[in-house]
Amino acid sequence: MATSKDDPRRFLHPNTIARISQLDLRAKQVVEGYISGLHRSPFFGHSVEFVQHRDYAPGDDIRHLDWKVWSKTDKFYIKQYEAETNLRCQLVIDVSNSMHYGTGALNKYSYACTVGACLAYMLLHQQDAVGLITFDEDVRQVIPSRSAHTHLDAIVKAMHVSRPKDKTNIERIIRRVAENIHMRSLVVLITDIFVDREAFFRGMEMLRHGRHDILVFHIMDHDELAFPFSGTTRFEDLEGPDVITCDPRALRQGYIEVVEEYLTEVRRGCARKGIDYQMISTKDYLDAALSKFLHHREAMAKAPAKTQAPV
Amino acid sequence: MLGLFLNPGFLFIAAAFVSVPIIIHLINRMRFKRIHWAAMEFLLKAQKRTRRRLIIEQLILLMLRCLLIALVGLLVLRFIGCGDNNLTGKPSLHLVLLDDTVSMRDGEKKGGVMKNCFDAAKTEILIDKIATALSKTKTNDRLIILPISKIGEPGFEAKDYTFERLNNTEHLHKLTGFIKELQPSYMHVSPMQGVKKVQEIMGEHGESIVTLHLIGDFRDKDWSQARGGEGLTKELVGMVKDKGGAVKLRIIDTADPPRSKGQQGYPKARDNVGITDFYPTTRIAGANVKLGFKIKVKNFGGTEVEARLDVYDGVTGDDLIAKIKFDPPAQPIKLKPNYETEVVFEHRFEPDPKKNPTPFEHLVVKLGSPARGPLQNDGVLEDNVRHAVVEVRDRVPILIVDGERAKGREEAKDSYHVVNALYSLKSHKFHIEFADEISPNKLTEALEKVDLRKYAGIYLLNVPELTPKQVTILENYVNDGGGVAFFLGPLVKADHYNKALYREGKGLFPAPLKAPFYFPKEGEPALEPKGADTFHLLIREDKFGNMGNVPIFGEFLRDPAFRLPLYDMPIRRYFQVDRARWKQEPERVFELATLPNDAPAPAYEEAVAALTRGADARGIQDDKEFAKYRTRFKNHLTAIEELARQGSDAKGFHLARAIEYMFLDKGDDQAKDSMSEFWTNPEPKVQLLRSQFTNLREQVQYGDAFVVARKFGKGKVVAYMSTAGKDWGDFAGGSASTVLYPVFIQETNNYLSSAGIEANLTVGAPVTVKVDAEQFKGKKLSLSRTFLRTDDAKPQDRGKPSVQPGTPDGNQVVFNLTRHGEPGKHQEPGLWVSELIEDGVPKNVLASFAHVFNVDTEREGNLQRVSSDELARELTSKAEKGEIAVVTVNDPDDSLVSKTNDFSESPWLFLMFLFILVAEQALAVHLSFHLKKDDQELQPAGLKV
Repeated sequence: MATSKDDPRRFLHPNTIARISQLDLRAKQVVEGYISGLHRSPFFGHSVEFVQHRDYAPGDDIRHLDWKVWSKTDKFYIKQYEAETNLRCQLVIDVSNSMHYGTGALNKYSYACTVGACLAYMLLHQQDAVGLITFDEDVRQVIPSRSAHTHLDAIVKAMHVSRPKDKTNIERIIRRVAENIHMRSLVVLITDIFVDREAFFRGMEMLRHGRHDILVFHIMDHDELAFPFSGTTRFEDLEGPDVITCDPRALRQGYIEVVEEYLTEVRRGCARKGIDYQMISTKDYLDAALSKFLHHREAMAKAPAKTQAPV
Repeated sequence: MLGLFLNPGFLFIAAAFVSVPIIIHLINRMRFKRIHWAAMEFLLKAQKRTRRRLIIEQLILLMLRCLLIALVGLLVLRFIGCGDNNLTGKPSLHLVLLDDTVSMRDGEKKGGVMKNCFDAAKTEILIDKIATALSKTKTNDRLIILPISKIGEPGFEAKDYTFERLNNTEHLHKLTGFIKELQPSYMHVSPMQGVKKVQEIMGEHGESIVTLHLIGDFRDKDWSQARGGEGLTKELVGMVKDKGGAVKLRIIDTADPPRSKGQQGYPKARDNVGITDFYPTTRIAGANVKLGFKIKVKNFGGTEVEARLDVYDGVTGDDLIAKIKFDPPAQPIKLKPNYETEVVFEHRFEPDPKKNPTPFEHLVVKLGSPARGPLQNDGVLEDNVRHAVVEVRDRVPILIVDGERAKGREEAKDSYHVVNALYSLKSHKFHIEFADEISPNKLTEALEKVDLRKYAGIYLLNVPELTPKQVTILENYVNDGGGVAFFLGPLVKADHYNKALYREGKGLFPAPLKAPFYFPKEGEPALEPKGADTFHLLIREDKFGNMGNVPIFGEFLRDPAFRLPLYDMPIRRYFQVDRARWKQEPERVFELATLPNDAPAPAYEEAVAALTRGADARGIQDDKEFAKYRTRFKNHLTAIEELARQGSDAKGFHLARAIEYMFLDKGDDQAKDSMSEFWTNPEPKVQLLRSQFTNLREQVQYGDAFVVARKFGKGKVVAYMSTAGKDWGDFAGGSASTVLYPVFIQETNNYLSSAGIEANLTVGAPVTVKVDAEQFKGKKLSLSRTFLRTDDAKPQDRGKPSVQPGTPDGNQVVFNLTRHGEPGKHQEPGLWVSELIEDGVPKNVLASFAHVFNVDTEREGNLQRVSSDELARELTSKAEKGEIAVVTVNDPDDSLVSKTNDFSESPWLFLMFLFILVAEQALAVHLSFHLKKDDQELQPAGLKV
């Protein structure tokens, strides 16, 4: 990232953006609203691209009757077209204290913002509407969804925070987020999930209840995954009073086991709720991670629509 | 603890290093990085889960690391184990008890160089074997060399003879220098004394292994069981057994020729002759009168030796051989094997104050080859020289204390006869002092007023009693070598003599008296003179072997003809010795002369009948073998029975004489029935009967003890149970025996003043001089001592005197003249003159004393070696194998080098080290303390989604 720390556009590294823009971003579900874009809407509307016929049901708009089929078969069929629609995406980024840990070029916060900015740019570029909510102990910034290209600046500015605070009650925070999203949207949550897992999943449940499509980017620093420390170290909690002095090498195996359990729990929890989940290490390339996710997303879109994934 | 290591010096450093891992751990705990960590939840969980396991594993790891360092420490320290099974690797104590007594000088010239046992001990054993072996040992063995003559010294400290770290060249040089400086002493010290000291030293040292090297010549006299060596071997075996194998004993015989292994009997020993005694007949002699000297020369060897005696004046160095005449006169004298030859001579001293300012004359006698050179084939040459000293005065002082004071000097009285007897001797000049002249008022106070030491003898004639103080003074005088003669009389209080002077055998007086009266007591008629059918005084030659050995009487009654006057020696009254209470001690308290038994012969009738009519006598009479003696034997028995029969007026001594006659009767030549021949028959029943008759004869022959004597300390006491004058008998005048009286008095005087034990002081013997504190009241006393060195034909070399203060002890001032007063000198044979001086000024001489020290030839001269058989029987066989070894000069002996079987030589240590190292590494890797190859890729599985 060649740009300076104070530049709000530092998250928009041109190379990264260029590579991501080659992929199509497809929404899983049809989002209410309408704008021209690349996204195929799951809703049938005014379009030139025929999809299928179906039996007429009382109440259907008779404008959509295929009269040619009626003339031949004397049956009423509704002619359905695939409509081009716009995606309403709400980026929810965790900017709390814990996100400010990081040893590489990007800490978790920077990485999360970069991912968020990339997605915003990409979506705006596709005429989709993008909004942003940041939170730490509470919702910190709320940028409503817009599809204007200039909206990116507002989003990027909102990502910049000073004096981060601790996460406290994640359930309450997500409720606040849900309250701020009035229309059905793609909610992209970028966080380290260092919160109470039950409360987190309850929050997710709440969002799902609002029929939002949820995509979770779980940002972990590489150190938090590999725990590569050596020598006597005093670990001081970023969000609490806990202090541990230990030889990290001795604790490493146990730590990794605990982290594995944690990741498994999160992954399974998300899957159970039908939430798209992707764990990204700050060491991973941004484009690689996003591409991987978008491919995964596409695969999900092609699969039969399900409201709940099997556990 | 330190004994467990060969390099104990590093122990504390190693101990400190063992704690290094712990210290590193603690330091690491204090030095830490600080990381603000987000995923604290996982860390807390991980720590909670693994905490106990981690602590245990880390403790094990810490312990393994400490153990590794401890093992390295053991390698450096060279640990040799805790058990006794590896004793050879531990530092051991080598104790060398080196015999440096006179007999170690035994040697001969080999290749023109004189080499003796001591040289062999020094070079071939101490330097070539022990020192060399210890210089090679890797352990810090300690060596203590104890010359046996040094161990009795009060200032002796074993540390002065201790050598350590002999693998250091400098220390080894110091040791060899010390060994080369060692010289054999002139002393005799019992090996037992050395062994006791060794045990004491062993107790003071902590080493668990002790090798005791007994280096000596192992003479039969010290070691043989038959000669008192039993205790010594028992002590040694006991010592080895007590320590349970921790003490090894090496008997190293350095005598030449070496004891061979298979030699079971007595190993060869060199012949040796030596002068065992040389002394003047009196302690104090008059000037210009002939004084007798006696020399005793003993040939300890098995072949006859011809040797020449030479006598030198110790003061001037003059050869006196031309002036003196030996008796027997033959020169060179022939010394029979295993026989002691006595030679006497007389010498007249003519004191010259210019040449000799002291009153002491010094003679040196030397034994040499007939050509006046050193004696050939003689083991020890040092015992061929002997010194004697005699105090020479113009007149010999004598003190007479007469109970009748001046009256005693009247004719027929005690002093009168004694003085006349002493003056009648032309060969002596006496200066007689009388107590009543010294102390006119209180007679016996004279004993307190003068220094008694100057008197050659003191005569107490008819003295009623002495105060306790006077008794003590007199006892001190005798104890220091003086002589006292008691002549009793009517004034004597027998009870007082018993209580104050006899004191149940502990006092001066030789025998208890039958108190309270003399015999026959006052008022009763005096004894009638005995007839001429018996000696009126019986000399107790039976108690001394032969007449010549009887003190006083032996000198002049050796010839039986001189005894004839004793047929007429009327004794009218005397004090009876209470035989029931009297205990005679051979060599200390003895009876010299006895009155014949006056008891009636019939009193012994039963005892006589039991013998004459007993089965033994009848058996002999019936025995055909003795038929030719039968008649004469029967006649004798009848005659004896007749004398003892009731109604007979015969006395006990008559009976004794009849028995004596039966023993001596030569019989009839024709009948060949000589009874003297019969009694020599070895037939047991004859000898049994003879001993029975002999016992009877002694029983009936001797009456009351009349002349008794005792040795008291270094001096002598004689008691005559009657008066010295004519009051109670006619010995002093008026009888045939009177001719013997002057001789008796003079011999008594000679006996009293004869050199006592002091004449035979051996080198190194401690001597004490005591002086009466009151006599020198108010004077600051000290003793100036000078050693008078004597060399052949050279005037005496008067060394520089040394002055030593006295120690008050009750009424006395005591000077302990130990050999430590003047190091080195007192350990040589020769003369020491000590002068009692006032205020440390040499001119103020109050009294002087002389002591000669000679080699103890009697105990050191016999070079016969103890048999190998006996050593094996009494020592080697009584201990476990290897605990006691008999070693000779030629034996190769590499057992001295302590093998260094420490752990560094054990493969097990390295194996253990390797094992622990692997375990440590494995555990460290296990604890992720070392990164694995694929460590960087270790990531949670969740990342792979």
